[in-house]
Amino acid sequence: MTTVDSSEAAVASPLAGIKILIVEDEPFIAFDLMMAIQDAGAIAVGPAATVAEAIDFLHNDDPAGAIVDVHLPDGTVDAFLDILPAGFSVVVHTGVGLPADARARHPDVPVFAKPTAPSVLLARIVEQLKRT
Amino acid sequence: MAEHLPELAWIASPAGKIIWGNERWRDYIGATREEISSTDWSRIHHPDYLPQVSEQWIAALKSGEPVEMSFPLRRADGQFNMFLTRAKPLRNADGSIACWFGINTDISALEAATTAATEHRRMLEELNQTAAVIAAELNLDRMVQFVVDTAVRLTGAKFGAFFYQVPQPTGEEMTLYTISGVPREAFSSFPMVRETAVFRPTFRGEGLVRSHDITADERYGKNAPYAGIAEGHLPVRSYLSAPVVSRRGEVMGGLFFGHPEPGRFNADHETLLTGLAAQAAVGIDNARLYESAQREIEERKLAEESRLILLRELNHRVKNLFAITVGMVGMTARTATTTQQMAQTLTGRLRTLAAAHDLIRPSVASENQSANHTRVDKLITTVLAAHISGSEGQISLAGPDILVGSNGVASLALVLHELATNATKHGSLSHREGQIAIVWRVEGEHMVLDWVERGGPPVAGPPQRNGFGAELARMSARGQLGGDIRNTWNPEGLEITLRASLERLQA
Repeated sequence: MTTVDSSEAAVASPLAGIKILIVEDEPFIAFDLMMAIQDAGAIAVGPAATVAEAIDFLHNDDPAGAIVDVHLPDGTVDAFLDILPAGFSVVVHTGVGLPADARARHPDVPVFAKPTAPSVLLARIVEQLKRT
Repeated sequence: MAEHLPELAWIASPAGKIIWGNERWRDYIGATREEISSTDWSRIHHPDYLPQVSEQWIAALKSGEPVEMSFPLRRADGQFNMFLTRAKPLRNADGSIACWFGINTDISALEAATTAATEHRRMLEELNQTAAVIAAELNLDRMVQFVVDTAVRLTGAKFGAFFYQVPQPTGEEMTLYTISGVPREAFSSFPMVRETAVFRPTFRGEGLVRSHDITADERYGKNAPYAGIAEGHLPVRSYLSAPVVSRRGEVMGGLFFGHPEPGRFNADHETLLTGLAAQAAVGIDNARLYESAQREIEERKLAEESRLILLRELNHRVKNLFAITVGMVGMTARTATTTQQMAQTLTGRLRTLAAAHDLIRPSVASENQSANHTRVDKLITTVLAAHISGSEGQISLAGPDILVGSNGVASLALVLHELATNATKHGSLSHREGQIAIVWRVEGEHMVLDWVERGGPPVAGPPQRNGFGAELARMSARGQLGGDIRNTWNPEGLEITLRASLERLQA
């Protein structure tokens, strides 16, 4: 209900101009995150509702980070995590957690239980992007 | 004196040749006084015993010591009877042997009794061992098989069978059988043993039946349609059967034994079978108790597991609902322009979510798996009910029964809710006489739903910008429902085609 002046926020935000992909099949959660990303001055990419769409967005839109759900209509998000380039900042936002084998392959990926405030997820992405 | 002894008495020369026999001796071997000394040993001795008898006798003659031997002797009529023979030397004044005096005592009756006693003991030992095996065997099939096999072996039956009633989970009883001595195929083509005159005492638990020759029994062959042995049935003459009765007096089944020759079963077999039947009864009781205990443990385990699964499912659903709700609140807050509008939009969405959840709630409350689904028509009616304010018949539905699962139901409900919200704001439902015709069908692996609005304000064309509701609907259809949404802005009213994967819908 309050209109955020995105140009002002963009200047102040560490995420200004950075593309962040949302991989989430639940539309309300997806759009909530999309808008939170925009509010933070970043560029929201997506939302991808399936693993296949997520991979398409990754190739076509070149995002720097992503907030991903685990269980999607066409499978778990592992296939997406497996092909992420070095330095990509990803956080997992899930109701059930990462499957054991995916966890073993991606031990450093932060996992947040749903629902986690979008600001917390984004802060973690910023932190990771700073490190690289 | 010796002449009239009840035993056979004889005198032999120091060289061992029989020179005199008493009357009983002569009668027994069928020789006159005169013939005694010329009697050939091989005529009165059994060839199997002769070598040993000669050896012992020669040794006695040499040593001059008394001797005791057991051997059969041939009676005048040819029959051999077992004798205990004792012989001792009678000596002259100078100590030399004058002659040998022998007495043969007929011990055939004793021998037979001993054999019978040995046999009896063996049977009791077997029975005892059987009891141990039966007590240790908790598998009903194996235990029963063991009982029948043992009985066949001990009675010398050609074949044996045990027919028993097994309570089914349905409450009915089923008759099963175990056989021994014949392949199962030789048995399986026959009809079940019925409660005929012959079998009645067994199935009623009235007692043991032993027949020398069942075909001569008056109870035999009185029954249509076979009147005796059914064609191809096992040829039984000797017949022995015993009921197996539980401790509570319930007849659990019957043991049946047969032999194609008459007169094969005796009183000992009867005793044996009585013992075996009693053991089998205890064994079956135990096995049943064990099985029902196992079943109960298994059922409890299953109940506990399904309770846990249900809890986990419930927990997951609640978490998911909260996640959706949080997203819904956040998103609605961002897109609404007034507090009132936000509250209204949010309430509508939350109510839809609650209604959708309600439709599949039975899966949590009941164990009926089919309650895990609802039908498309039911879902549409539920969702649209909140949007109809005008006359009845505003909404018409037509389509086949399609099931919607717990995952699909929330997505489809929210899509329909957004479409209905849009129709209420801008489309046909904004007029009291406006209508929506909803028709769905199955096309391959998809459900295709046509939503046709009529009687609303004229449609100019696509809206300037898509509302978030339409975005939500599109994303849900594409992602969660594995399909899409297409809009046609017909001047008479909006027409929407929603495609959804049946697999996703039913998940």
